[in-house]
Amino acid sequence: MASYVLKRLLLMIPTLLGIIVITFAVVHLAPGDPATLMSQSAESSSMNEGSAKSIVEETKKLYGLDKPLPVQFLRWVQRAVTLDFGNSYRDHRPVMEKIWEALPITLLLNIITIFIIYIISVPLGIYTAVKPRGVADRVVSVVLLVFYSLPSFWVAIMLMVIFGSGDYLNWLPITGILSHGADKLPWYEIVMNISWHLILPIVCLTYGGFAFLSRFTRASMLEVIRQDYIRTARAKGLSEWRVIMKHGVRNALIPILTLMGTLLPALLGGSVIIEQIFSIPGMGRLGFESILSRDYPVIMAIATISAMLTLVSILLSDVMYKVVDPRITFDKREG
Amino acid sequence: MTLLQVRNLTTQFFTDEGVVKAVDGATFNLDKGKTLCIVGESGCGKSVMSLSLMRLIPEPPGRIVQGEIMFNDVQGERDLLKLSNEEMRRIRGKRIGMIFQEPMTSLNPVYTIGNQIGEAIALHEGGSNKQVKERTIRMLELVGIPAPEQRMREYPHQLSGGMRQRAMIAMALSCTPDILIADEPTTALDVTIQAQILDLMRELQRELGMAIIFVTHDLGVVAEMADQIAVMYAGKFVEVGTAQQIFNDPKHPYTQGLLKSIPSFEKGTEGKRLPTIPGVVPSLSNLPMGCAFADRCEKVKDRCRGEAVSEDPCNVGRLVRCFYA
Amino acid sequence: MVNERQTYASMIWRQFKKSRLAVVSLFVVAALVVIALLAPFIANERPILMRHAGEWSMPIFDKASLTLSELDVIKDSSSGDLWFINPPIPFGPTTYDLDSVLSPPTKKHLLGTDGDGRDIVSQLIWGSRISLSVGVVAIGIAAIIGIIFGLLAGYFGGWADMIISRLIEIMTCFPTFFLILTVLAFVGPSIFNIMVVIGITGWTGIARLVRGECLKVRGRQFVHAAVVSGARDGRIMWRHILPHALAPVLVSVSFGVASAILAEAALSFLGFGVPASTASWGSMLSEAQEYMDIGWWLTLVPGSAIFVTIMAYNLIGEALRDAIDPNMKT
Ligand SMILES: Nc1ncnc2c1ncn2[C@@H]1O[C@H](COP(=O)(O)OP(=O)(O)OP(=O)(O)O)[C@@H](O)[C@H]1O
Ligand SMILES: [Mg+2]
Repeated sequence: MASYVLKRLLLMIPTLLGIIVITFAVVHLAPGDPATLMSQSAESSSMNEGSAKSIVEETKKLYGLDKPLPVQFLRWVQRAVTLDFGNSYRDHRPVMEKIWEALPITLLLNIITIFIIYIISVPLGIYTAVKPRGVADRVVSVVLLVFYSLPSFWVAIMLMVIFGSGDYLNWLPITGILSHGADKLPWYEIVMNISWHLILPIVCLTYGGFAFLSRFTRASMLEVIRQDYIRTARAKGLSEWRVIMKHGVRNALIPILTLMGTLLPALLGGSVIIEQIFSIPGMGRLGFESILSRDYPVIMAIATISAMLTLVSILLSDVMYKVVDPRITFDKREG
Repeated sequence: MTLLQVRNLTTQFFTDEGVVKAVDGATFNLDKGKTLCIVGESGCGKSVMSLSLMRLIPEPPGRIVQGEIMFNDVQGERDLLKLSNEEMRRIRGKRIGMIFQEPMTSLNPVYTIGNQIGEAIALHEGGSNKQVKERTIRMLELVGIPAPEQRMREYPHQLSGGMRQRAMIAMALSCTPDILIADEPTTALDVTIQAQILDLMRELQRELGMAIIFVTHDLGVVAEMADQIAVMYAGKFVEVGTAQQIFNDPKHPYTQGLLKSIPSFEKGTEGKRLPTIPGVVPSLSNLPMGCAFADRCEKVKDRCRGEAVSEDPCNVGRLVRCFYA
Repeated sequence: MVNERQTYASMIWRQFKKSRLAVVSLFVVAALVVIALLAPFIANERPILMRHAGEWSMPIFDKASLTLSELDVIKDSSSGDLWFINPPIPFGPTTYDLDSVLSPPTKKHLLGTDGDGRDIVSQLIWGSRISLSVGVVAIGIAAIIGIIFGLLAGYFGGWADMIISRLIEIMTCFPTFFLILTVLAFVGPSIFNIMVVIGITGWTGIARLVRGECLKVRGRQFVHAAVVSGARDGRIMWRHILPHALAPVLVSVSFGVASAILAEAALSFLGFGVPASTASWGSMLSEAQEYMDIGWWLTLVPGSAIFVTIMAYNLIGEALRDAIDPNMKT
């Protein structure tokens, strides 16, 4: 087990290196070097000449822009590996500090989202697989495809008008994750307050995911139902419910679990627009604002960190494989 | 005592390409403690036949369109096809057990052997966890799996093919059924293992007294196992008789063809596939009006093609579906 | 070989036709394409055809010619030798009808106007050009890259496979939308850049698919035969392997077009889209936010357009997938 994880970690190294190369390339893709671009944005944010200059120097030092390319690259590798991304151009706070503030919020959002998507899609997928091509199957598949096709930002602004503006139903808060001054309340009130704030964003983040996962579950389940051991289970006299829930589902879940890893980056990307619309101070919004203000250190840090997180979650879902599938022995399987 | 009376059992699959008549009017009796062998070439409907008896035909596309399966045990005689799903479930695994061709894929890979055998016992016999476990171990011992207490904690992939088939047999017999349906249980195994499994089944039959419906296309196996034999061709039984009758006095040209191409039934014929008779089997979704074997038959006459063949047109005294037997 | 392929295609078509929604979607997409192509003839502030002072002209192609409102003014004063055919929607996407700003749907403006008095129908029609072209071109790029990489990886295996597979893995680690935003921030938003960026971030799925098909097909008899008979690699890939991968790629492409259209709309919504003078469905939505409370049609109309288009492509994709995948239909 430990040796398997170690091996997987080693195999991640080339991928990690690739990620670092790409982020490095993106910085150098920028027209003009980051330092000058940076000072332009500093000018526009009405800084005095001197501090703008010092920022240019700081930036040049950070990226080692006076050095030859290979040296610059090695520097970047070193920074990425040690998670030392320097200071933000905008407010000069350490990049990591800003990320540590934003990450928990996005993770909270995404974990709840993934949880809800699984809780709804997997049973739906199983149900439609048990009675394929029936009326329910067709209705579910069309309804979910409708959800999948509804642009989340459109739904978001419509939900805001309906539930959050004073015009129709003034039920739910539409910005941020905590009411102003609510941090002084007792903890359970804070939890309530946050949940209240998260309802609309979570709705917008989840509904589009049902179609894919339930479809995937259905396919996986249909495949399992055709297997011989399902026939064996029936021949034993088990009820259809037992056959499906015990012998079908556990096998069908194996490929579904590995999907978790691939869902994470999609949700991180998706939350740029939702976090922006609902003014949620998570990674998506931090990233978007950094892009708008050309705050390179933050952009690079977010890209690198979320790519690394994804790698880790792929590893985790592979390890989870083991829990549900006794056939996989860690020694035999190669990455 | 007649345990099972099957009358005119007909199972069809309704596919895009047409209606597949996989089992067409099968009729036979099975006596207590005896073995009926169903032989026939690949695709002639043997598996569909056995699954129909268990009412395990996938529906759709399949359906048992007519017939009756009278089952006569301690609870009296009843037609399995008329039972509710719930009642039928209590028969499966308890009164009729079944084992399949592919021991590799017939066991669920994610549960231990003990779990899968114990499941059937707990379902039909009840009892505490401990009792279930003890009985599971006893069953594993019975089918000759060494170190059963350890084996029951293992997963199917940790067992060899022969061991898996033994585990399957243990599972099917765990509730001491009256009938065991074995659908080519040895086809996927190599010859020595095959012989061991056959010995085991005969031994268990003597010990537990169940009747066996043994499906195979291996005539050597038939010679070893059968009391009764039903020869199947293109969805129909073409000849039914005792082992003696079929081997010593085959009437149907198809049966004769099968037997003729086997040099002897001495030792060493086990494991040989059915010999090939020239020609092809007609498609089950597009059967001719008359005898389905006509195109391959040496004795074929005009009548064979133009007229449906009844069960015993020559009055042999048992089922022989041929005008010129 | 050709025959076999034709029957395969017709089998897929037969299955596809069974989904009525998918057939309707095909018509929707076809109608959208026609509308997008004919946009200048359908919604324009200049006449389609005009005769003035004995001369024929097509003012829609001449930015310098008089607009309909200007023509209305001179119509009375001119000598009568003025004749023209109006387009069905007599407004261009940038015609400012200052008499009816923020007008709800009326006879004159069928779906209302925005805060600057621009006709919504006209903007919608012209916006379809952006959506459709981004969708098609971006996925075209993605498909070409994906097919080439997939073929290389699947056919040659070994090092090529190793490198391409790693590349795919790396690409999938980045949050795609964030990556698109970042690159666009560097290269500047333009319709061309949007297409390219969506294209080069969207090829991994197709590459994986083609690679998988390739591995499946490579072992088959006819490929062996082709190899033995000394056909060149390129030819084998093109003639023997690609056709088998085509059906799943097509599924991926129609879902891909939908998500590219969505991505463009999202980008425009965030202000990263095509420059503001060109109406795109996403930017219409973005502007609608300002009038959310008083101009419901401003939000509803472009959103529905995006939704219907995406839905049509998704339905087509799904029906195609069912048609080629016998396992799904039981
Ligand atoms: N689910 C199904 N749908 C359609 N046709 C089926 C289905 N299952 C079986 N059949 C058809 O029924 C016929 C009999 O099949 P069956 O599996 O009983 O053959 P078999 O005699 O057991 O052959 P084998 O010796 O290869 O196991 C075949 O022609 C097959 O095509
Ligand atoms: Mg069979």
